[in-house]
Amino acid sequence: MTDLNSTTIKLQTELHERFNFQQFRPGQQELLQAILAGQNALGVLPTGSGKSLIYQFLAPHLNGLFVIVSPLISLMSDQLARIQAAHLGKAAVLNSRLNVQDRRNILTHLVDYKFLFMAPETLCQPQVLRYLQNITIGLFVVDEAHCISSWGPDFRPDYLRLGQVQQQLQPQVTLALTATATDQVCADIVQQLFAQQSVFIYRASVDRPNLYLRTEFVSSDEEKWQRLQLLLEQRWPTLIYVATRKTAEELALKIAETTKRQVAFYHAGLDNLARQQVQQLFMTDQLDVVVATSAFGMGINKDNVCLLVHYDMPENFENYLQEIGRAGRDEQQALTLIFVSQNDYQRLQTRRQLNQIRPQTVTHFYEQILDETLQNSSGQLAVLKAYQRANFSEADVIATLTKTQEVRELQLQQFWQFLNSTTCLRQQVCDYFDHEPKVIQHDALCCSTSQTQSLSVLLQRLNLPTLVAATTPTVNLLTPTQVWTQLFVNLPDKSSS
Amino acid sequence: MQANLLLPLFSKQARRYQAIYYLLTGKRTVSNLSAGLAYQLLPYFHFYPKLSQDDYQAALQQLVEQHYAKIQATDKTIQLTSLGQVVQARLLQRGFWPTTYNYWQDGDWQLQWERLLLSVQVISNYQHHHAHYTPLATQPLVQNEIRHWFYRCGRTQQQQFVEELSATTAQLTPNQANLLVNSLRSSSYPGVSDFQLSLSLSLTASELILARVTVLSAFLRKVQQFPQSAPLRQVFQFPTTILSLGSTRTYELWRSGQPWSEIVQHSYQKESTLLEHLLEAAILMPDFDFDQPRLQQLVAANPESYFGQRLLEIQELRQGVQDD
Ligand SMILES: [Zn+2]
Repeated sequence: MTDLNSTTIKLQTELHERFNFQQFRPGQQELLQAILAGQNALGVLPTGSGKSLIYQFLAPHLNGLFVIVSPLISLMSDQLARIQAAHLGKAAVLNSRLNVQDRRNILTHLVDYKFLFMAPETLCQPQVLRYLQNITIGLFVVDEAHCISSWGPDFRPDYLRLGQVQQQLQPQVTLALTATATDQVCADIVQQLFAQQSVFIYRASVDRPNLYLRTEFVSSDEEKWQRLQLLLEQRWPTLIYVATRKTAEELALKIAETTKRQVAFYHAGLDNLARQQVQQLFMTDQLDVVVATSAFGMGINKDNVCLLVHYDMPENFENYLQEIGRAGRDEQQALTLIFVSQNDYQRLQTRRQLNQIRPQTVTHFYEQILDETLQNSSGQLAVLKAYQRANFSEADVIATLTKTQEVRELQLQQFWQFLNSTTCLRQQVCDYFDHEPKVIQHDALCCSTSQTQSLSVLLQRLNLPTLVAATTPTVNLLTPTQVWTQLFVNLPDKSSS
Repeated sequence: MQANLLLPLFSKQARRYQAIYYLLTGKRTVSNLSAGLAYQLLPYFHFYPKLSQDDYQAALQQLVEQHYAKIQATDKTIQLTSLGQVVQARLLQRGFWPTTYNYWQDGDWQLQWERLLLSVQVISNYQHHHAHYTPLATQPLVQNEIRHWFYRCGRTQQQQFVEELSATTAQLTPNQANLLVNSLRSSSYPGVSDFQLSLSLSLTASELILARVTVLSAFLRKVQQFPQSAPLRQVFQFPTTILSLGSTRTYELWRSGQPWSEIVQHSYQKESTLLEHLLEAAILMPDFDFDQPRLQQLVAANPESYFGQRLLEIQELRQGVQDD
């Protein structure tokens, strides 16, 4: 016992000294202790619980390179930027955007690096594996580990090869991380990634008591827009999720034209620098509304989002949970509100059907027959290529696709049922995700639907913290002289004597 | 991709849209470069390196649906309708489309843009003692270059950089200068988001990017007039050779007067590849001599060949361009 306590104190002191945090978030310490004791680990930690802190913390403790596998380029470059800004060790992202020379430079100097981020398909390239096999891998991190499970909504065939790669690389420790995993998905991760090895599992409850959950029923797009305007009257730091890039841009424009809010949009079509800038301005409250699509919301690492709106509905519980997790990271009361609309549900169904890969298309792909669907959809082609890379046979692909499509359909149905339900929303979220769900004591700060309580009454009662007027930004463009004054200390027109 | 922004790349004459796609994404082949020469689009080589075939096709489809353009599926060409020509002219009148940009003179605009942003950020943050920040450049190449540039930059050079920067910006039109300075940022100056900037300038997000290239191109032309040693000049890399590595070698040997047979003999590459190098030079090099007897002999050796025909085409195109 004393041993454990002294370790706890040591870890907490280090946390304070290196990261300036007073205490660990749930799960961080448990996982660190397991890994420091040489155990493999799986952490199911809610969004915003500081998953990346774990491997940042471990940098001085484990020798060798930390290889971090992550599915999205944007995620990797955000984490890379954070590591570089915090000077935690040399770090790089290995991806297809690098030119040949930069790529070779990284691979031939791997020993100089502490962190190397890459997508699973990059990691599985024979050349990359060869370089990695020649050096010590201190930690192998599989981020968004739920992508390994065909029971999860984000299944990626490339993830299936990670188990084998892990055995080839022989890392000292392997850590799998995810924000959303049901029992079934957890079992899949353990089986695929850790086959015969022992593994420490930490599963935090998905419940975040400071998030108020709200379903808002609307019968038309116009009604939705009116309710949103009501929500935007106060200067709450606001994040709005929409389904498509086009909607993100259009809605941001509408908000800019009709409200006094400082708004911008955020989606995969923006280049890195533009995304960075939106994040930065949002972080410092120079922007107070961001309209974003789901794929690129992950980079938004802001503490005081106190209003989170799903203007369009996501496809499942998993995405919903991840996205509402961006609100109230400062532990203050936050409102998460999702619009429930029959129209949106129909649109989602149509989009899904369009994106479904038919068995015939799979056959054409494997027999290399010219297929019109494939010619017109690089998305479907990319999925099939991923299966092929993961050595799936034609029959396996058809079977897996049929299964995942069924799973997705089921997940959508369950989520739609949740949205239309009248019982405690929080209880349902916990029941869906948690291994041993607790019984929620529903109260005035828990949840509601628009059918039992009006929005204006709710807003009055929640009394969310608004941004103080002193930080009200100006959007007027500055003149060159004004900009030079802010940028540089020694101005050209001043004599430098 | 905002479809109407592609209009200036097309004309009332039919153009091969795939060749234009490959040109925009920077695929350097004789066939693509010839198309660029024929359509007078060579300056836009490598203009959208990340443009996907899907997005491009979708944009073309949209132009067709808006009756701005017609597509011939059989020979894969596109041509503007009379409505399309009117819309094209109106678009160009708005002044943001980068008509002056030239890849071969200004360099890769995305790299140049990052060099500008990062150099300003680095100097500004240094002056304000901010050591920990995310660099405003995504390309490792640019990060390395500017790091080395900064190490070489003493106090005097930093001051000189600031002076050169503000003096060069002052030579731009007021609108151009506004766009440029409001795109800059550092730890001491948060700047504005692209969305806010585009709203203030009444441009869409995609139009803003083109407007930036226009401003950047004007800015770079002025930077190029500085002496090599000027700190602002040293931030940027301008193309020293416009040919690919292989073509440069072949073309230099050719210009030195070495007989063709010897060039072929001493090379590890196939003769057809070497002939392609010459064709690339014929398209891109301003001083390529079409009339020299050795070239005529090379053509005469096999007049019906790909090389001979292509060279003739290129010569005609280049003379046509000069006559314009
Ligand atoms: Zn409740």
